[in-house]
Formats: sequence, structure tokens, C-alpha cells
Amino acid sequence: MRIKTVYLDDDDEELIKYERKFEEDGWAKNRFEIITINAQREVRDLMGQVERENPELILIDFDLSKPKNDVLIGISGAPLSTALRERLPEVPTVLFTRRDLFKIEQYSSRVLSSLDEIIYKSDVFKGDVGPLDFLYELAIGFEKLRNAKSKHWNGLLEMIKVPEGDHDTLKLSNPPITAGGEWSVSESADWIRNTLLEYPGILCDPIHAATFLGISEVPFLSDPIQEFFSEARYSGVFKPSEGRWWKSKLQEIAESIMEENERDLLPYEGFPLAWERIEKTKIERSKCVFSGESPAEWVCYILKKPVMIKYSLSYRPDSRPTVMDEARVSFEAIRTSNDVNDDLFDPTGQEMLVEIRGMPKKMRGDDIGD
Amino acid sequence: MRRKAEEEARRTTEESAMQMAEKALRKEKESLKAEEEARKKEEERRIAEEEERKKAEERARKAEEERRRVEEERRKAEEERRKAEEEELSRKREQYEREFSQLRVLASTGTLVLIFAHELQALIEDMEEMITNFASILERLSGKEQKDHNHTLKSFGNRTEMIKELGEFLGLTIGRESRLEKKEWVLLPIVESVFRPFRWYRENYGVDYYDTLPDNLRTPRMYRSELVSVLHNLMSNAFKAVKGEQDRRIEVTGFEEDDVVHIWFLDSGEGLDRSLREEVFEPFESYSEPDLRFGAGTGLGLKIVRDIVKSYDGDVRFIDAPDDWKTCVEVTLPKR
Repeated sequence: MRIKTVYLDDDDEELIKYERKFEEDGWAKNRFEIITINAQREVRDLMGQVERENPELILIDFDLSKPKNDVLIGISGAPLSTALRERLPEVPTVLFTRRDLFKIEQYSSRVLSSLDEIIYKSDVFKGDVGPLDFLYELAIGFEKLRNAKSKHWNGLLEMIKVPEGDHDTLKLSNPPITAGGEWSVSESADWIRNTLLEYPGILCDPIHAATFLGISEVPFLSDPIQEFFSEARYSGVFKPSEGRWWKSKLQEIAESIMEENERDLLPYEGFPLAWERIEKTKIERSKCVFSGESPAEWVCYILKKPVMIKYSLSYRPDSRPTVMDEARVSFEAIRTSNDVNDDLFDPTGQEMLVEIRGMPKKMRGDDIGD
Repeated sequence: MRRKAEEEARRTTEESAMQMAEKALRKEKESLKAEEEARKKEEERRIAEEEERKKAEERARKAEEERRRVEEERRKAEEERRKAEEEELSRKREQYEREFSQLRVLASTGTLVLIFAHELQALIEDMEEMITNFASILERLSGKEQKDHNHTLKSFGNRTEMIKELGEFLGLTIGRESRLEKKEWVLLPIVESVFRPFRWYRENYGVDYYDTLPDNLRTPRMYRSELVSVLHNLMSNAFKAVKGEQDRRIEVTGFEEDDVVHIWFLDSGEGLDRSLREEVFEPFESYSEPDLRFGAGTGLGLKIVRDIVKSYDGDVRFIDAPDDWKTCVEVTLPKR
């Protein structure tokens, strides 16, 4: 299936260049049908033309300041995306722009509010299909939501292909359901992409899934383990290329090979034992980024590496639903990273920062007043 | 008889009067004598007073003369100080005018830099496209031809990556967060980011680079742009110092002692003469050879470094290098 994609830019050369690139790329040409439109015209005319094209994906350049035939649209890609979102709320809109050489561009939340994503032109067509695959999944996800048989809760669950045991948990993650029990395409897309797939808890990315099972990421992504947990892999809309796994299914499948004494343990302790017993080979445990001890049962929010809870502090970087895993930052990140924001720790945590920062690397637990 | 008695009485009276007169005369004499003594004493007191007054007047005159002399000396000293201050101000004014002039030129290039960056980014994208296309063309060539052209492709790719990294590094310095947020920065990742654009030179010029900073060493609260500027200037100086030398080594290390952060830049270059250790911090004093790769040597680098660290009550100076090193530049930054 080819995604009907409208690409808006103020530069004819860019329009020609990327239309050619989409057509010449072996992977993209069978997945995208590019319709290029020079944005330099009256906003109303432009909106009308975009609507008439009935697009399934819209790409907009940010800077629309180059006049054509002395005509200038007079707005940038950000407000144009807001206008398009009002007219075409069920079509994904992506800022398709040039990256700043200095990498210091910062779009405000207002600018981003009507955009589903930012893709830098230079990141596409570099031999890696990642960005194109992402655009394709985005468009397909919106299409599936648009065509859902039911716009009620059960219809949404079907789109996400939720295990039955997670239905109630999912309700606690602030799904955008109206009082009448209905959902809209754009709000649901936003919830699935920016809550359900974003925060670990119900679904897990590779490092969170591996740590939940008490093993390191490399063996988790190995073929035997992937095959074993294939039923836990997320296959709903907007599935990220690096994968997501239902935590409840990971536990269920892990427990299926555990003996009674192993089931008495937590999954990160019991599963590696069960796997080693059956496979008769050692499996690398999740190792704490601070102490080097195993198994580490959490993932450091900053370093994205396993950490033992006792060597981490609670962190509040976002307003994730409480049903999601709490964000925690490892002592290692507190010691060595400039990305840690001290204001996001609770008062007790803030009091400990000076002491933690003075600790030598890989200090053992005996020396810490936990 | 009566006359005799009268005579006697008259005589007695006269004797009595005589005695009284003598007594009176004696008293008069005594009185005169006392008066004379009192007058003499008064005269002596007056003379003493007069002498005292004269002495006091002399003392006052001398004190006034001393005061005037001191005042004159003070006035002269003040005049000399004022003159010296005026000369210093004049010298500083000239120095600042030169610096401001340089800064105005630099500031006015800001817009040009942004335009340049925009165009450069477009060029980089075209270069990346060429690399991709060139690589696919190469695949169709014979093995020997591929080998011949692969070197060009690799070199072209490396240069493109290097320009991208330099751009990103510049962003570290001029980015909003970098200029507006004061933070206690962990030094190691910042030093690594400063070194990254230099790694091409390290490979090309065969420089051994060691980074032995403790992984949790932090600066006091400061702007990242200023820290990057300090580190970049010193890193660039170190690379200039070892370029062309037989022994080409650079080490960045550091430690914290008594709430002061010490950062050391060590190099195995020629070293700096002791007599120049302070002079090199003067603006426009450049002792490096013009270098097309690491900058022409404006003579402002070390001055900027010192100005920045001084603004945090710190210092930068050349100290005796440890054994096996020729130069050691030490930056000190108090944490409180």
C-alpha cells in the first residue's frame, strides 16, 4: 500500500529533490506517493488544495519565507500545521525540515502542539530506512484508527491488540475516552504514541523488558529469547521499530518455564534461573550501572541502563500516569551526567545529591546508608 | 607743776605719736615691700606667661608648617596618584577600545555566521548525498578502481563528518542553554565534547591524547559557554604546542582540593620561558606561530580564559610542569 503524502515547501528545488528521492528509493517508492505543493499562495487556497488531495500524510517545511512569483504565504510551517490539524484532524502532520548546523534549534511546545513529529531532511535517505519506516508506521497507524470498526473503548483495544489481562490497567493510563465512551483519531494516536508507547510500565522497550526479566539487553534481543517471548511483542498501531513488549505477557511467558521455587521469586530473579536450568547455558544478568551488582531491577531514566533501586533516586521528569513505572535516576548519572536536573528530585532526594556526587565509582552498598 | 605735767603729757603724747608714726612708717615700709614683692612675682608670672605664649605660638607655627608640609606632600602624592590613574585609565581605555573593536567585529560576524551555517548545512547535505551516490557508483567499478577511489570517498566522508562535529561543537558554545543556565558542570563529558573536533587532528598529526579527569569532578556554578571557551582555548593551545614536535603528547587532568577545582592542561611541546608566564596573558600578546588549522593567534585566547576564570574568583597560570611534561597550564576555580 502506498501512502498518499502531501509535501509542502517554499522551495521548488527542495520539492523536486525530495520527490525524486522518494521515487528513486527502492524502499520508499512502493510505500509513498509524493504530491508536492509549493506553499506560496493564499492560505485558504493552499488549505483547499491540500484537502482536495485527500492526503494520508502531510510533510511541512518549517521555514516558508521564500516568495514565489512575489507571493508569500506569510506564516511558517508551525501555524500552518495548526490550521491543517483543524481541517484534517485525522491526518498525521510532520514537520519536515532542515537541521540546524549547530543543532541548537528548539521548537516551543506551542509550535509542536499540532505536529505529530519532526523529521530532519538530512536524516532521511541515508541508507537507513528507519526514518522512512517511522513515517510509514505513523501513516498506517492513523489509517487503521480512521478505519476502526468501532470508535468505542473495545475498538481502541483492538487497535492496540491489548492482552485481556491488561484491559483494566490500561483504563488507568488516562486514555482519551469521552463521557460517551468514544475516542477520536488524533487524541488516541497521541495517547498511544506519547503515553502508552512512551512510558515503561504496561509496555516495555528492549532495555526495560530485559531488566524486568533480570537479563541484559543483548541476550534479550537474541533470537532464542525473542522467539520465546514473541507473543509478548506489541503488534498494535504505531509499533516502534525497536519493539515494545507487554509486561504482563513477559511475566506470564517467563512463569511458564519456572518451577515452583522459581515462581516464588520475582521475575528478574526467577526467569534467569529457569532459563539457565532449561537451556543449560549461562545468561548474562542485568548489571547495575553504579555498583556492578546483579540483578538490577530498574532502568536509569538518564543513562537508560539497569540500576538497582537502592542505588537510584525517584525523579519527576514528566506527568506520566501513576500506573506507569516511576522514573528513577541512578547514582552513576547523578555523579557523572550533566543531563540530571536537580529540581526534579523530591526534597529528600535533593538532600542526598551532594553526598552521592562525592562517592567514588562503583561503591558497594555497605558504604551507603540505605 | 601743771605746766610740767602738761609738758609731760605733751611729751608723752608726742612720743606716743612718734611711736605710732614709726609704727605706721614701718607698716608702710612693710606694705611697700610686700607690694614690691607682689609686683615682682606678677612680673615674673607675666614673663613666664609671655614665654609660654611665645613657645605655644612657636609650637603652633611649627605644627602649621608641618601640616602644610604634609598637606603639600599629600597633594603631591595625590597628584602623582591621579596622574598614574589617568595614565592607567588611558592605557586601559586604549586596551578596551582595541578589545571592543575586536568584539564589535566578532559580533558583527554573528549574522554572517548564521547565514554561513545555513548554507554550510545545505552543502553538507549535498555532500552526504554525493557520498551515498558515489558509493553506489563505486560498487559498479572494478576492484582496482574501487580501491583507488575508496580513499577519496573515505577522506571526503571524514571531512564531512568533521565539519558536522565542528558545527555541533559551535552550537555547544552559542546555544541558548549554554549562555543562560548556570550549573555545576561535570567536567569529563564537557572536556570530551571539546576534544571531539580535535580528534581528526590527533589522528592526522599523531598526537597522543590522555583524558584522566575524575568522572565526578564538577565545576562551580557557571555558564557552559564560558567553560567550553576556557577548555577550547587551552586545548587548542596544547595542540598548537605539540604540532611538529617529535614528542607529541597532551593530557587533561584535574582534581579538587580544599573546595577548589584544579584543571591541568599538560603538553610535551617546547614549553614556555618562565619570564613570559605572565606576559602571555596580556591582550594581543601572541607567542604562537600563525596556524591555519588552530587559529592565527589573536593574542586574546589566554586573556579571555583569564577574564572568564577571574570572574569566578579563579585563576589560570603556567606552573612548573610535572616530570616528563614541558608545559602545565593550571585553571583553578573555587567552589564557594
